[in-house]
Amino acid sequence: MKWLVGFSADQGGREALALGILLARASSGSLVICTVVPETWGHPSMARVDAEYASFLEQHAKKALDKARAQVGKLAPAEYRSRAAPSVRQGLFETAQHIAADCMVLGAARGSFLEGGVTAGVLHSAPLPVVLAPRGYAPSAKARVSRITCAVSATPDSLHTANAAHGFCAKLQVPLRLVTFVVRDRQMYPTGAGYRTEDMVANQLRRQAIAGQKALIAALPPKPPTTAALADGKTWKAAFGSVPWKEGEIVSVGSSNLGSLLRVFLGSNSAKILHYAPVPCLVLPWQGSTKAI
Amino acid sequence: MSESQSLGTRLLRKKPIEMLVSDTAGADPEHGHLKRGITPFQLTMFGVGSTIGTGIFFVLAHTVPTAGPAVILSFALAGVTAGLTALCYAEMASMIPVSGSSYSYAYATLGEGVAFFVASCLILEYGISAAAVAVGWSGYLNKLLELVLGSGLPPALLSAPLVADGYSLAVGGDGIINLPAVILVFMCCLLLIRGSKESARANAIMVLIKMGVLAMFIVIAVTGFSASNLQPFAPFGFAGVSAAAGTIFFTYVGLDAVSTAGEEVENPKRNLPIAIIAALIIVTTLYVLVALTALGVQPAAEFEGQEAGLATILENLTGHAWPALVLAAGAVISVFSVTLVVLYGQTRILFAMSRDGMLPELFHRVNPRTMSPVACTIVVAIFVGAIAAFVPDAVLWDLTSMGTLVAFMVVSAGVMILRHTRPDMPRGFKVPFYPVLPILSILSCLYLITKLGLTIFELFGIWLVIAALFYFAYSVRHSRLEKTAGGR
Repeated sequence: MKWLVGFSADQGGREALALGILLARASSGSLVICTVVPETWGHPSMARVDAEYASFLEQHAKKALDKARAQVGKLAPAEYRSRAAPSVRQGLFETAQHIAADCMVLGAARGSFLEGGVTAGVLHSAPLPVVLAPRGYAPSAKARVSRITCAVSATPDSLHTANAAHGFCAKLQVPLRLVTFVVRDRQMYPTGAGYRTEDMVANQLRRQAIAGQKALIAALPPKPPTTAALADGKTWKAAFGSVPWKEGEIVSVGSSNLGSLLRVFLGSNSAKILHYAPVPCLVLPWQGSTKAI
Repeated sequence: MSESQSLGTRLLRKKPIEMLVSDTAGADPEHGHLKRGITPFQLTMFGVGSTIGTGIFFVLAHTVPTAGPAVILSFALAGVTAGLTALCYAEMASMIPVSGSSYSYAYATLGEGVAFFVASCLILEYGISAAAVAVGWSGYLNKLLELVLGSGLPPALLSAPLVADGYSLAVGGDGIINLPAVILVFMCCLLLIRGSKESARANAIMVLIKMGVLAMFIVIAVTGFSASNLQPFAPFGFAGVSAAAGTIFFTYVGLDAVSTAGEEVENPKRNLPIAIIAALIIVTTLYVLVALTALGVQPAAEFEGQEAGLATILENLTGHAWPALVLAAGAVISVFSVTLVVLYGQTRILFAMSRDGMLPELFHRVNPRTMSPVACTIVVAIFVGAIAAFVPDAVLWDLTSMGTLVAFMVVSAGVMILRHTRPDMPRGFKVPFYPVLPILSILSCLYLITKLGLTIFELFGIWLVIAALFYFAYSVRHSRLEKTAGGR
């Protein structure tokens, strides 16, 4: 598999690269490390100001890629590129197309996952799967990809997402776990229907989810094996805390049906999963009538 | 399998309390039954929040013509009845260690038949009152538009094509559809589908808005008070007073928001009655003061057919638009929140019934994306929206009163039955002055019911027949208890 790492010489870039190395090794694939620099004006200018700027950018990209080279070492086969483009997003997409990448790897921006303009843009239009390293991601030297957890809403439509995640599992030779998030909604105040009614709704959702997960597991290929779990809690954070996460685990989410076919488009619930996930998050493009969970 | 139970056993079978507990139990210990989160003050605010807004803004236009200035007494009479029933309701609620609606309490204590009957009354209390409130809201919205834009909506889009003249329903008048009411119902349902909820804090803000605009009304109206408007005080005698009280009972719907909080409140034995009575005193005082000052401002004859009554009174009295504008805006905001709360209650009661197998599975299917029962909410929106669009408000108020009074009568009777059949069952709260209080509660409900119009009895009868047919054709065989009985 070909993993395209969007690299910048900062914390986020290092984290993305660490994740890329992990994935490349797990899939016996290769890395393409790309740093995107702004496009310069293509015409000669009077005082060669632009040429000066262009050479600065070249130096900058070279420095960044040197850092990447140092980090990768001999851990995985890698190729290093810099690309000039009007926007980082566009540069990455063009590179992905050019090298026929299977998946894009990005780091978190400052703050959390979604706060970076690049990540936000990529997550609403990428034509290929995107995997994001969480902030502060530092896998140990011995870390291996241990499992992919696919977040599903456990409706028949989830099969598309689960299938895509299962495909990744087969390539990485790791088991799949389906997780359905049951985040108990806030209670309405006041009400004449009792102050625990949302528990009742959540309990029903839980039953639906268990039945839905069973049907999904039956519909997926038997190898690699698939397990299921419910992540239950009052808030998304609590729900994440309610299921165990292994080292080297990756969580995957589908795209919202608001986006276009075969593109990544982060839905509102997926955005929450991305925000609270303690592990890297793989966002899969929308495959037909797949709904985001 | 299903033949193992006779019809009598089926009607009397009770839902085991453990089943009720497991239905509403959270999955983690922090949702266990030890946590009692609601303070008596908050609970009082819940009572006030869900009660004010269901009627005081509109009900004078229909009740003053019936009772004359003595409508003040009707408010007191309806208030006392509401208080008695709320206390009985609180005892029944406190017998069961989960929070729920009177439907679930009746199911656990009085049996499936009674529970289904109570539930069909609750549909009137919630579904029909939501429609009634939406119709009243539409009047205030139109008033607001008139004050802000200079002109309101055409009358054809503002009222129902049916009119209630005295004792019968007929097609007539210049209305085609009450469009704003339909829009309100659909907006609220859209919010519910998206999973929006009113928080305790939002409720507190709504309470402040409602009490604020009503206080403003009282303060301004008192300046135009003329005692001569109160003469003659009771032109139709006590008959008029009690007839109006039947309709006015509708304005106290929502007080069960207090009674159902049994297990969620600290020290229910002490705090439940305090909250019920405090809410009742606050609400009744405001109602009586609003009615009294409104009656002091204009002669009783002018109330008839007055839309957005309170705002119009202020406009006429002061000659300025702004007090009416403030009041209409306050009413539009706070009545919106009441509609949301009532519709929420309706969807969740149907949800609970469907979980018990009383209604088709569709009603308890949860959409995993919004985590709300979408299909159930859409059905409620269509049902309530259609009623709000085509049925006049006076009928809706009386029908709500009818449903609520009957449901509460059953609950009061249930309290007495259970004192005999389950005397040793622990009760978090016991009705004082037993058996006088429940008897008074039943009698006062009965009394108010007999004062409602013949049309209402007819409509209620038709509704009960539909409900009974549905029960015997569907629910009795699909009940979750049927399966447990067969499985044993």
